[in-house]
Amino acid sequence: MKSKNFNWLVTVIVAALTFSALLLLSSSNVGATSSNSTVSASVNVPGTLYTDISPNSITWTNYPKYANDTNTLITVSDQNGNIPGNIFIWGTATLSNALNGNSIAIGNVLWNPTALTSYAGNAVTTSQVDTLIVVAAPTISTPTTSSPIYLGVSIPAGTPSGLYTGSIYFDIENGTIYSSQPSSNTLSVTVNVLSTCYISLNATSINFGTVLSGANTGTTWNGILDSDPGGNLQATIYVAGTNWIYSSNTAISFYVANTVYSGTNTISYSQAYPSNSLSLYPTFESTSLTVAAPTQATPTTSTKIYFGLGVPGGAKAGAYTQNIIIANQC
Amino acid sequence: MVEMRHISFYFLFLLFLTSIASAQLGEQGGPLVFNVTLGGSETLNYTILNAGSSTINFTVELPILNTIPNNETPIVKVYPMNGTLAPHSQQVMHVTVFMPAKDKPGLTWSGGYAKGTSGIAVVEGSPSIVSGGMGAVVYAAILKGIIIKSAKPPINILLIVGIVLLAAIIVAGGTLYYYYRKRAVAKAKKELRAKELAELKARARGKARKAVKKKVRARPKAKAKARKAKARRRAR
Repeated sequence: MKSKNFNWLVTVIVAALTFSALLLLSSSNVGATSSNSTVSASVNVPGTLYTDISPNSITWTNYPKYANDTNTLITVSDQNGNIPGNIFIWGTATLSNALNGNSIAIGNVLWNPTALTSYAGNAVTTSQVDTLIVVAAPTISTPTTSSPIYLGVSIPAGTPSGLYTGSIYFDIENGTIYSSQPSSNTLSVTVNVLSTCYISLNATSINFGTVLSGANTGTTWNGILDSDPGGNLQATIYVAGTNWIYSSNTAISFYVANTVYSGTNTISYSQAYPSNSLSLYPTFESTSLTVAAPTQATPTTSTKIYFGLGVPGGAKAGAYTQNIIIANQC
Repeated sequence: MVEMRHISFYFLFLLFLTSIASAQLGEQGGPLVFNVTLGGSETLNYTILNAGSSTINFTVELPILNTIPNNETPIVKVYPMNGTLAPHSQQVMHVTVFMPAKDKPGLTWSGGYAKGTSGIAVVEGSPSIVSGGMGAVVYAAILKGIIIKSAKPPINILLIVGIVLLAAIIVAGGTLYYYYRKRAVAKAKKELRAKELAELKARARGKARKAVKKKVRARPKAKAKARKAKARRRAR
């Protein structure tokens, strides 16, 4: 007779007993913490400030000696803070151009609490300045509060053309409480300086005095100082003139080419005539003289141009007048 | 009464006032470079400036360009031709170049870069009066160099589309005409052939009929002939 194998039954019974034991153990642990009790919660919410600005970057474009009015709006916001604070402002020392190695001092950037139609206000410095512009405390119903601040810039004379970049920083502060900056409080500033040249003449008339008919001014020259007060490009000097007109009878005249120009006053009239004779306006003649490009260190550059005159023989005695036009081209 | 020791101070102060009050006419640097298609126009702008503290009245003188034989010189117009610049103000100048249609492409005219030519002159119009003797009134001006290049007109896509369309219409029309003509000719030929065939058939039918008639007509004669031959045989 074949005996039956009951090992499988023994295994099932042992497993069932083990599972029951574990279940009992775990249920006894749960029972240990299931008693009722009261939890007292407390939280301390400190006075908090945050600073955000909009926009985060601005670009100003202008010429040397020109300024952008103090009306570029920057909105300084406190989002999710809970106390009021004042806006503080400061910046990098300069707005710099890495390509030409020049810079614009940060003091050329002005701030003001209100928009202005002129370049006016307070200079931005490298140290934090309290603008006294208040940003109100945010509340649960108004979680974001903000205040405006306006900026402007002036481009110093002789600043070379190019892009100048720097940063201006903002912070909302209340006594010793400074703001956290969850996003950004840095304004990236770019100033695009355009190329230009100016002309300014130190005299607007020349009196050649008395010149005899058939004679000339010889080695006596009348100089006009041609200046560039603040541009950033080298300019070439061009000249033109009108015919000499008799003062009491406009029908009487002699030719413009009797007037000559020179870059020096050490030569004689005959050395300049006719190669350096003036051409009849509006045709300008290049003198090949230049006015150097001003720089921030030398914001005004100048070149003197001299004029001499020969009176043709037979010219009627009396006073004659002429227009001379000195032009800078850059 | 002005004391003598103060004269130098007053002179320096006057010099200072003169220097700060002096007009400072300026312009945006660089030449104006035009690339104008034949028969077309182009407008470029540039800025003139008054960086000084006194008002500047200005007048504009049009540029003088070089001439090129057998080609018309482009026309240059500037707006405004005169005006007033307040202290620390700017004025945008609009320069328009009109290129003659009959000029050759690839030519270059310039003003202010060659002898006998001039750029656009903006002249400060505040002359002082010269009294007595040989006097010249000196004006300050700024010159804007100008370079003008003539260019072929750009390809007109509409024109090309029109030409292609026209060509397509002509080709399609020609094809259709040829097709229908060929078809008509074929039809005519077919008809002609059918007509000829019909005629031939008719002719054939006519011949057959004639043959039948002849046969029919010939039958009694043959019978009569046979009868006669029979009668002759009997008679023998």
